[in-house]
Amino acid sequence: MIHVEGLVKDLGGRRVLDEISFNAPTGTITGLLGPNGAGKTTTMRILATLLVPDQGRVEIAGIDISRDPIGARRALGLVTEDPGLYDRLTVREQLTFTGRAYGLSSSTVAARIDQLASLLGMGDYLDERAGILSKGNRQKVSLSRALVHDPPILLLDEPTSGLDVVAAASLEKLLTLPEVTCGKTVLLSTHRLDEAERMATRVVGIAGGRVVVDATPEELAEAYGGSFREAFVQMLGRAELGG
Amino acid sequence: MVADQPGRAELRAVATQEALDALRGRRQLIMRAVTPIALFIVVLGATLVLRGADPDQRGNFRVAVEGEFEGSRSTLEALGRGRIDFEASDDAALATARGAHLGLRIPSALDSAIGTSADDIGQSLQIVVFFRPSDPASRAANALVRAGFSELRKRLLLEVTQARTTQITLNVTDVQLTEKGTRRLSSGLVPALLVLQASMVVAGAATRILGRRNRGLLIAQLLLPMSRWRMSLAKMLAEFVIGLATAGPVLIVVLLFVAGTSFGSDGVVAAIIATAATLITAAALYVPMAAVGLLIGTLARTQEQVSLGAAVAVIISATTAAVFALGDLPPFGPTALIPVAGLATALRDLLAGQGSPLWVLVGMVSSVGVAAAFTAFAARSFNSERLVLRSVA
Repeated sequence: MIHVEGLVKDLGGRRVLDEISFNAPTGTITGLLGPNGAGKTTTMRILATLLVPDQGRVEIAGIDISRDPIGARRALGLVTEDPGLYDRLTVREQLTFTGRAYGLSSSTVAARIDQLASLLGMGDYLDERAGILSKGNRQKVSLSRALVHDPPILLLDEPTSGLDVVAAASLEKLLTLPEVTCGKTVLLSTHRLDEAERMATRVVGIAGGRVVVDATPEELAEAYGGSFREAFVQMLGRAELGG
Repeated sequence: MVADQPGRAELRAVATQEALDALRGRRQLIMRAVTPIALFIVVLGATLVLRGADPDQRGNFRVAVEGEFEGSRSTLEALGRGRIDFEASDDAALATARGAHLGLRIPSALDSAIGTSADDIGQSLQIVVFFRPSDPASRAANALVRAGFSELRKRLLLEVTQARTTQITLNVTDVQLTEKGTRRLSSGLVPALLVLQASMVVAGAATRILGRRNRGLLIAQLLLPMSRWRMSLAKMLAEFVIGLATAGPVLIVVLLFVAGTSFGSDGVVAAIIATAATLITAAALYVPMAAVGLLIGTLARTQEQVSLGAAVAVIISATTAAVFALGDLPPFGPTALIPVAGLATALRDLLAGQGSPLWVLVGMVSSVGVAAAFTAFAARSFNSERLVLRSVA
């Protein structure tokens, strides 16, 4: 479970997050939606302990990230738009080193890599250097790296951005596989409404650094009438006019 | 599968990952191996040129005199014609090798030996002159002294008969070809090369860290469950390993050279000590250089800043090599307390047969100590907020 309460963050003299609060329940995919500059990435970075909030409290799997950031890091995996791989290392090496850095034994890491390779279809290029892989495959490696220590929390920050339609669909499919995300708390940050509608069981909409909606896609569509997409856009429009 | 508290494995995993990725970039490795050799040639050339930059020697020449100094003062002052400062020395050859413009080994009571009293019977005096042909100032001092002796001979011829004239024979020796001279020169070359080779680590480390930040690798690393200090330490260790691996071929040649020259002059034990001290020095020099590279790479925002920082580090290293390793500083053990420079001096003195392995160890501790301080400072700068926001900018 992710618990976010009263999150405030100023960057460059501008308030980027203004009292953000929401929960992401265990075993669900929660979509963090909003237009560019809404504060999604800043929120994800705070949750991943990469940024420190000015105010507010965040709990990751029951761990207060301000009090125990290292413990929180051990409990989460993050996939960002940029996979950030060592080009001269093979996929297996990258995953092995990551697993070892999380304190897993060699045998555990090896077994986990085989399991992930099979699950994500990486068997063909497990021993290839990452530098020669396509962006879609690199993103799969990034996902495996986030999962290698089997964390209870998975943060996905625009994971399909920059991917072509086929690669994005393939990754999206993997992310919804029960074997991949089952039992985990998944927070998916995206500006693509269709992606959120397909994947998320609940959406938190952010605009101008504030939470403007926290509901299931169905609830939203029902409240505003029409499709989820129309309802969400209408909701954002109201929030911006109101803000 | 949330892992238990990781120990050394985390450190090793991050360091190995960093080092392996870098060591697979062959082009960079070749560059880093070859550049210091070219730099070394430039520094050595510049040092020799600077030593002889004033062949007219506006100040007086320094001439070391081995032998009975007091009983030779009148003769020496006549030779110098006010342009030479004579100083007593236990070993004129060594003093010349160390930087005196000239060395003279004179017989006892030179003044009375070439005196012109009627009772004196002509005798032969052997005077050995040590000079450095590669140094114009040394050559000029040699010419001045030889001219002085020539005038002295003429004066003796005019004042007494040929049969009673004291014969003065000058034995002019190139000190660089003597064992002491060669040893002195080579003892400076080894630490100078090691310092320059190690300085290459700075640019490599800083560039790599900035590059990895720009490629988003840093975010993945900052997510690992380890403290910033351990992360910084892991990166420093990786750069240290990369530096040593890059220097491997040159280091092997240097170690063989040191072992060979020390064995030839002082035997097996001295050769082992000298080789071990050289290896320790090489390793200890790479640690602070890796830490400086880490610090620059962490603090810099752009490649230009990295280049500037690395250039400053190389210039400081080259100056250190020229002054402390190749220079004429007299042996002084406590110099080893100065990180890097002191270590280079301690090794130079040890290889010249004038130092102690203990001072090399002191130099190692001081250099590693300053590296720890730099690494800790880099860890403080390893602020995820600053680095992440910068990498985005």
